[in-house]
Amino acid sequence: MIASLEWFLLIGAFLFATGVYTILTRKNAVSVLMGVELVLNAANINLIAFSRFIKPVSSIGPQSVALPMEPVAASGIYGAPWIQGQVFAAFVIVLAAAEAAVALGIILGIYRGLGDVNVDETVRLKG
Amino acid sequence: MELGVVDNLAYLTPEFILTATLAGVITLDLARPKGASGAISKLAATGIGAALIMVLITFFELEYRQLTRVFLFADSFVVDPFSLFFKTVAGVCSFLVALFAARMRRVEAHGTGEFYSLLLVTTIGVFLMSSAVDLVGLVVAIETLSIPSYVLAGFYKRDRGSSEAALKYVLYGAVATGTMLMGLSFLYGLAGDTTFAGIARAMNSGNVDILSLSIILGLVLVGVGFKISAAPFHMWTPDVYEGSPTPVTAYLATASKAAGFAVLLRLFYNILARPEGSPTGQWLPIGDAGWTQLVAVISVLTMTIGNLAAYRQTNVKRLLAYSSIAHAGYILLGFVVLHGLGIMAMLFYIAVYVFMNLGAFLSIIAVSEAGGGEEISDFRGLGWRSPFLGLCLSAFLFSLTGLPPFAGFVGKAYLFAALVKNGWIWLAVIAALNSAVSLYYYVRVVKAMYLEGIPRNENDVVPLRIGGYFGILLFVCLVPTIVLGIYWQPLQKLAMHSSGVNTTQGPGLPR
Repeated sequence: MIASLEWFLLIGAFLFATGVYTILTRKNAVSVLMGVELVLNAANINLIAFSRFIKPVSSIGPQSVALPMEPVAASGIYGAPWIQGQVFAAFVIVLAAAEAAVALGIILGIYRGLGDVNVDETVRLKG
Repeated sequence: MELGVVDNLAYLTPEFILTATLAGVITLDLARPKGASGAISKLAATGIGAALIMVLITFFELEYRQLTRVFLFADSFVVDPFSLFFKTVAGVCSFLVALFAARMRRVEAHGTGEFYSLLLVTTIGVFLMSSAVDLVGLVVAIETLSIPSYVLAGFYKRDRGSSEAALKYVLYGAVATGTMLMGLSFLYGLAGDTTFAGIARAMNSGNVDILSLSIILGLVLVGVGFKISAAPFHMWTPDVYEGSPTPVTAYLATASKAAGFAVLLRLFYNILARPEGSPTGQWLPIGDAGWTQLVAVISVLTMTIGNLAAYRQTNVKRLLAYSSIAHAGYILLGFVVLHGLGIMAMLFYIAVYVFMNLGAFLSIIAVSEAGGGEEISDFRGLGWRSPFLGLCLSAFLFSLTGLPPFAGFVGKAYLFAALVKNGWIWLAVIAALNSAVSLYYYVRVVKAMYLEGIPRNENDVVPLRIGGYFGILLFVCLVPTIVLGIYWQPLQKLAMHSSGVNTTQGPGLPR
């Protein structure tokens, strides 16, 4: 049995809601970042799910649930719409990593700038 | 024709120049020969200037070869007058900001190499944002601008305000990007394509679910609204603008915001509207989606919140932050009318806004470099202590208010005219009232400069020397602010010429 698109979207929506809840309720910067990661991964699940189930309105593409064995020319001469979603997701993963690295660097800089304060204690004070 | 790919790469020359300059700056910074700091800032400014000139040459190239637009990289990147207009604006911003920062002692103390390499990356990001017509490319471009901006906001590492600005910016920014990505993933699912042209085709096919479209609209608006600091996503703006180093604030308020508007126009006009006839005429929203009303409400909220909050400010940078929120509201007015005239008015206003806002921030830099502060009380008697600076800053502030004969007046006149012509009278009235209200807080700064702390006699004046370098830069910002208020027709023609946001019509290069 193949799970339908709705299931994937539900998981995505659930992850998104969890992420937004985390962002809104946590005051700790690191926890907020975790929430952001959840939101980004919700988008990734959506992208991958859509890329598998997509039925392009604009052009000929895979009409069935299963991936076609032979790529069909879909969007003009370039690329097929079902691969675009996966490429998109790959890019999102990389961007999320870059963003997390910079954000964590900034958070670290703030804690260092606060002086002798232990990072753990600062986190607790902020939370 | 596949061979054409190499020809088309010539249209990317500005981006190539910026990237090469970036490599040069990083190498120079690593090698650290004696006096590298001055060389780095000169190299960066030269590189941005060269890229700017190439952008202008590309303008003429398109005109000469009679092309509407050129697509690159499998329809994911477009070079057209619209993107070139925004590249020009962003190039001017980066160039001036690079020159501002070159003489700032604090920037030098924190590492000139880092500052200019980050500035160059953000510039590349803005260039890519104005040209991206594919969701993947768009997201990458937005992050290319955003991630270095977060670092730039916290550039004064030991400064508490700067670090807090960076933290706030990165957290709000990450949330906004995440939410926008969620919307874009749904958009991809709905349209089955990531290129704007493909999405537009799908949207025009008629069988589009309006509810899904509204959800996408809401999610994407969070991301774009954050970039242009529109209410209710403006909360980060005052803190980040106040805490960041002033050249970075100037950059965020101009180039970064302009790029946000480029994305807003390109994305929304392509996915949520279609041209009725000519793309420079009336546009029709897809389905019955009442999103123009939504944007109108956001615009009113943005300008009202910005103007009312600016009243209470005592810090000039914070005041300008709220003023830039209000201006995002004004520029959104042109977006609401769904007409080529509205787009033209937006482009015109953005170009004008960049000069007057950069000038205002540059005045703050000049004052603090000469030993002054950033509070309004520090500006007392400034008009007598440094007549040229006082004159320039007054001109910038009056232009931001929208008083004739300054450029800001013409920009507002075009925006309001576009509104009235399309029947948005109530919106035009609210916007006009808002501009009148804004006069109060701009004048407060001018009043502090001229009517407070008046020296009793000639010998009592403590002159504030801003130096010839900042003087010339101030003059460079002052000239367009005044000249475009008197002789604005060339810019208006250019904005009109550049207002084609559509990606579906018009001939491109043979592929």
